[in-house]
Amino acid sequence: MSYAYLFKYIIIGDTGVGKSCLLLQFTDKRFQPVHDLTIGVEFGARMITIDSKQIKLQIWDTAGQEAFRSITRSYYRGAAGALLVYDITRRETFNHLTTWLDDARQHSNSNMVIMLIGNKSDLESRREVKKEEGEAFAREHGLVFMETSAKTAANVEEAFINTAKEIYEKIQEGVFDINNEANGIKIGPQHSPTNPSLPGATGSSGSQGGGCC
Amino acid sequence: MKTDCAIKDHILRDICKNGQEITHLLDNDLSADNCILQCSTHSASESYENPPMGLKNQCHKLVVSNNLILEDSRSQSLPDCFLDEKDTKNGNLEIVDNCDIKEKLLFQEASPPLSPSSESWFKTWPERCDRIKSNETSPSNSLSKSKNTHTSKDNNCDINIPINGLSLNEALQNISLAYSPVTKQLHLVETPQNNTVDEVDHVSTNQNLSNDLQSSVDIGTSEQRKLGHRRIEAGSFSSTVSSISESSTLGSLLDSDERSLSNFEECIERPSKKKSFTNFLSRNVFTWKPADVPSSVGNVLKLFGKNTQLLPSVSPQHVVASSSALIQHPRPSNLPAKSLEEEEKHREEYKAILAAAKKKEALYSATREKLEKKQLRQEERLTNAAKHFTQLVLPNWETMKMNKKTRELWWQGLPSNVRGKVWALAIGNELNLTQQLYEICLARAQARLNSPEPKTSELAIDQEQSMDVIQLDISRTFPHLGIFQEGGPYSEVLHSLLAAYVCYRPDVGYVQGMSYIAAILILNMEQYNAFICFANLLNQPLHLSAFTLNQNQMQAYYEAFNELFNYNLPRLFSHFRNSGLTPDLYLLDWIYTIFAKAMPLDVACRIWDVFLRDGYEFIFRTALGILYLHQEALLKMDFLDGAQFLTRLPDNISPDLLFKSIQTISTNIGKQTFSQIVNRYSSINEHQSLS
Repeated sequence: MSYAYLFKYIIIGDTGVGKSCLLLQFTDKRFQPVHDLTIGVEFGARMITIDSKQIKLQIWDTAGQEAFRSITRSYYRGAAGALLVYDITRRETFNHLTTWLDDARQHSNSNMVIMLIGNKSDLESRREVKKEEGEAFAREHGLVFMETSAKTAANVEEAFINTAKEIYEKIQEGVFDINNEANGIKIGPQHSPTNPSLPGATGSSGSQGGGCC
Repeated sequence: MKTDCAIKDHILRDICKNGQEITHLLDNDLSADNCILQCSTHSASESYENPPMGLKNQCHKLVVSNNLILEDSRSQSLPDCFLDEKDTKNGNLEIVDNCDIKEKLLFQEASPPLSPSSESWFKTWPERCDRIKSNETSPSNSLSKSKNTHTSKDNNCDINIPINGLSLNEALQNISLAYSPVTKQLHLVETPQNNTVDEVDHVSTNQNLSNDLQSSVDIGTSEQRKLGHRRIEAGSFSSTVSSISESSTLGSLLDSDERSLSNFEECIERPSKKKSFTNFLSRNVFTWKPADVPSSVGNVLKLFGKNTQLLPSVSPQHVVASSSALIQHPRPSNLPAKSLEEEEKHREEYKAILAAAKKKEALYSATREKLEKKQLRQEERLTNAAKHFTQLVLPNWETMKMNKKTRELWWQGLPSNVRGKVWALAIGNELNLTQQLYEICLARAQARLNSPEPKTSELAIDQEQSMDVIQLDISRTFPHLGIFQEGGPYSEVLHSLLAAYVCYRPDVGYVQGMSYIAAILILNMEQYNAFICFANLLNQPLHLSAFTLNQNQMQAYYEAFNELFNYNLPRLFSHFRNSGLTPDLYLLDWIYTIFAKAMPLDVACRIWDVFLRDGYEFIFRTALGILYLHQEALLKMDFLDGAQFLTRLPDNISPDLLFKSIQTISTNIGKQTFSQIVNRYSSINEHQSLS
């Protein structure tokens, strides 16, 4: 399928916070109560539409265990977006956010959009981390925040799509150099100035801005 | 027209002699085709000189069958046969005289009667038939049954009797002979009224199987059950013939028969001719089948079991019962009769139904049989392998582990009952771990788990963290098996083993992936041995580097793998390099779990078998085997599709195909072994990191 852009995403966060389940819910629209653990990295993909443009998301779902940090660090390279996930029912996963953020900032492109996600919002009775705490952490570090549930699919679409929207806006603003693939953005192979889905669209490439929002 | 006993005895001896000879010859393998042909001809001609009554025809027919099959020139062989037959007619005239004596002899004896199966087609002229029937009710039936179970040749009982050790009188009695006033000969006979109907049908339908069935349906009363049996054989027979030569073989044979024989004789003769041909086939073509099948009927049924078994409509009583057969019946008298066209139409419809069912069943049974055979072979192989390992290898491990046969059986997959033992021996216990040590570690781990008070030292915190992760990961190990989940039978075992390892090697701790390795071991051996194997396995260089996250060393392995990849599969290697698909992305999972997560459990165990035989190189060899197996598909994939494919391999992988693929992969490049390549890269990496 043709696409205008391809964005590389990386999902990070402690082990067992539901990274793979979020991905599965986003790509396959299903939930597996018992998911086998991720070793190294697994991959997912989905096409979304933003501003009438087809955007392919290439998602890297990483192993969460501390021990694997040295390995997952290499996966940040070339990521345009990151989902930093914690589990609202396990405070320690929230406490580890700073180390994850440091790692992400250190090994990725400085323009990488990071979305903070508090997962398992369906388990309200077991909540250990208040929503406000998440919001505060996000504000403090300049992240977008959202609470999701991979089980009920609440906010899962939004989490992935809002991140993509922000990346797209950065492209329109010219923040991202889309010709440098190290930024995690690739122009689609069939991308042409006149997008078939929107014949009237302006701009030969995303970096020049245009289109009405 | 009475002759003395001497003549009778003489004739009987001839029967025995020729019978023995022919049977013996026929018992030979088909590999001696020509010999059989020659000898049979010889014995047949001998029998012509002293025609042993009904046997003459049998011998003759056997020769005919031989000619038909072996020379594959019916048109040529047939005229000769008829010449023969005509020649022997003179001889037969003599026999006619003996008829009375023989009959007298037969019924003076209270010897065992015919078995029901032979009776079905050995019926004689009415008066004899009656007497035989009365004999049948005698309690000595078992003897005749055992005679029949002895060999399939009993249907041509006149040939075989001497071999079976039966008395001559019995032999004679079993020969259903009758004098035909038309031909002035003795004949093997059947119930005449059945034959007439049958044969008319046969002539009109040219031995077609469905017509055979058709005719049995036409006769269609339960009275005809036995005939039905014979019919089944005829059906099976003609289908066999069609697979060997053409179904017209018999037709042409019959045509020529018609020319030389009277209609009446033909009616009597043909079934027995078919019989002998069937027997010939069952004896010589299908030599693999067991010799001691219950009766010739059973034999044929068994031989063509799939047809008869799966075609219930073949058996007349079923045919009658089935709704499709009902259309074959004439309407009750109070209803107007079927028109000819209607009858014909119904016949056609029924034929079509039968043909379709037969086709379907044949297909189904063929695949099923194939599957069963494969399964059987597999089971047999495993039994033999298990025997080899338990009797030879396990008691003499050091000397036998490198044995060629051992290694071969090992490659084919260890039988599950010896797998754990062989694995334990193959892994060994270099670390000299003892049960006490395991128990100490276990106790310490349990104490730690039960008292989660904060530890002061950093190491303790690390350990505790990895303990927490264990808890999380237990239920995420082989989730589909459902045995490691909370409350599952192995949940605790797996937890204790991993926790004990963390206490044994706090410097390594628990790293994700270990749970799969431990689980595979637990599935194949008991807990303590699993721990020993686990600890020793993780002490091997590759896994020690992996679980201590020694990135430099792991990089050396990846680079060595790349070199091997390029050497074995250059096309795919360059495709992957162009798309940016680096080996660490897919190898990591394969190394950390030794394919336990990536492969179905049975395939994973087979990979483990050879991994423990050949060492860590086999992991990389298997990786290349997987890439080779899917090379064509992978060549068409971009980075994302390729990465997704390799991190989530299809579940329906065939172990045989995979191992075939692995076999083509070499782990040596020239004279360099994989370890040497790894060492080269690790020294380069070391040098680079220093400078």
